[in-house]
Amino acid sequence: MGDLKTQRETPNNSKIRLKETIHEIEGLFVSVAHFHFVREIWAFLLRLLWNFIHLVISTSHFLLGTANTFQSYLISSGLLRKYKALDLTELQYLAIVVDSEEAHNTSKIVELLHWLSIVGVKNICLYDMDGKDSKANAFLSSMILIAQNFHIFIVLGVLKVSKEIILEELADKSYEKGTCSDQKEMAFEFSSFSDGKEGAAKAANFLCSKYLKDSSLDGVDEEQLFTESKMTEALRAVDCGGPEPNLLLVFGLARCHLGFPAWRMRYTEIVHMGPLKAMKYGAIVKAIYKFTTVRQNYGS
Amino acid sequence: MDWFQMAGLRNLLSNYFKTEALFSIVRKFVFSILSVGPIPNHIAFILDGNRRYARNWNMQEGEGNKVGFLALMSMLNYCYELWIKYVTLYAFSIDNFNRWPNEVQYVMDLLQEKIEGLLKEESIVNNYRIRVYFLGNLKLLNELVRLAAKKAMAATAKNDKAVLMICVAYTSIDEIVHVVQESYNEKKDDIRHHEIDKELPIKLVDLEKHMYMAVALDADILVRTSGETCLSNFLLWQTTFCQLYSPNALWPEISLRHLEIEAIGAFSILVELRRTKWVHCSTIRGGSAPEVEIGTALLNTSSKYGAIDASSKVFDKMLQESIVSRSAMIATYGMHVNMQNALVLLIEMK
Repeated sequence: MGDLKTQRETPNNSKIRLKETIHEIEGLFVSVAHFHFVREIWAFLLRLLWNFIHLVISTSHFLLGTANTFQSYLISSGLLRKYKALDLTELQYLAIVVDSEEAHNTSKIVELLHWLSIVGVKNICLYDMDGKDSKANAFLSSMILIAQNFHIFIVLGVLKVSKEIILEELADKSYEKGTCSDQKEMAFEFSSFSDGKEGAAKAANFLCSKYLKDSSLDGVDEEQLFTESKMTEALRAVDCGGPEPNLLLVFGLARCHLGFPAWRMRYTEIVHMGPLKAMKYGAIVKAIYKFTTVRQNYGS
Repeated sequence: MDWFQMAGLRNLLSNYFKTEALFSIVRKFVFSILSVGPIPNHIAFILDGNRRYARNWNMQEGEGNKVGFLALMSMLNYCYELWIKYVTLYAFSIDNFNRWPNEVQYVMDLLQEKIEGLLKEESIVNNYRIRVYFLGNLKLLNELVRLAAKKAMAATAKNDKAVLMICVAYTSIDEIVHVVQESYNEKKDDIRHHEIDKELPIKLVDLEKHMYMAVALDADILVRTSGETCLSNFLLWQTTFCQLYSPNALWPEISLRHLEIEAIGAFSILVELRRTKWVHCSTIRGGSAPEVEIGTALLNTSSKYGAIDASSKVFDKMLQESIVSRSAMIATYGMHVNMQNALVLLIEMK
């Protein structure tokens, strides 16, 4: 009798137990789903807040940019006295770093160089990441434009190929115009990414092969063989040397120097000017003025 | 509000219950918001302005460095809480040896004391499992500091969560000369037997692997305090795509808001994308296959912003795969609901 009872009860019990386990599993899924739901909500909230902060920062940058533009117009108009006469004795060499895409915009480059000539800068290094070959034609045409319009002699340093053509063109022009008494002389140098790191590799090869071939240096301590001055000479020998610029103006969206030769950038002041297409004369004057007020102590 | 005032305020308020915990909760909340966007992998700091701070507050000579050290500890805590894996500091330059001998000696003593402090149990190094490197021409340091530095490097060699690179007796120019010397030692035979018109024996890769800074990828952001915009012979080689940031605050005055708002807020999607494009173009244009780490980093970045084609191109070009890069690619496809490709890669992995 007892056995029948248990036999009858077991299927009911198992059904109940099955239902209970199903309920438990459903409950687990619901709590996991809730947890997942809560996590989704939290992630969405964080993204929203991040976008809000990003918006606030972008707005403040925009407002700052507008204020700077207004100031540069004031400077251009000559109303602010302190920017009128700039003391350029400290600024021996100026470098311009341009984003490669913007470097194709030759009219802007010419305008920039014209402004710099008005300010009175004498020596300029133009740098962009791409190789010299792609720039050769663009800069060639812009150089001829400058020479024609602004009576400036140009001596190209690194672009050896275009140098002869340019000098020929200029020689023709100077005969036409006769000797102008107030001709400004500006020196330009063109540089690219390959003058930086790869130039250092070429200089290393030059230096090392020089020491190995010179048997009189056997037994000399290596510390004395490899010094700063020897490296500078080696860089000059492989055509990747040059003076150190005092000021470097970066035209582009990002605030980085895009691989300007490391050996020449020790104590260079680096100023970010924004994109080339939005450049203003007043901003350049302000950057140069700010440079003249800086007192470098060179680490000591 | 500079570090000093902030610490004073905190001390005052910590008399009240739970304020310290409240500060840290708020800070963690802000960090979780910032983690939504791109976070730099590597930040470099130039600790400038300690002496000026001491003069401004009429402190004794050298006290500014002590306050600077406290500010440094709090900045490091913030960086590692934000999961910024690599932090580099410009602690002492070779040019700084030209300062007054008393001053140099004071800084050296402070350095030694703090390095020994790092090795203690409760220090930040053990909390975050930081591996410490001392980079530079260590031969120029005095014996005690050099030994302490070597001991610290050996003691933290097994840590793997984060990396702290402290540049002492370092200048970029000295680093480049050192690199040339090391390459010379390595490639003496190749140079001796080099024929003209053949490929040069010392290549750029050889130079780069001997750099002191070869232990980490290039810096993403370089912060120089006290408003100076000059690199002062620091990381000249490694800052090709590094965002330069110069707050006007002096180093002891640097605070969390500088790190949050400017360095990371300004490090926006636009810059990240442009940088990826440059590295991408120069890698693929150069014809070289990306190194595993760079390739994986590129994959991660491109995938984060939905550029799947770019990611797959980088992945194909990578000659040397690793499990990391493959799983990164699988994750990319998964994230952008491209299950078929993800599954194919997974099966190939086995």
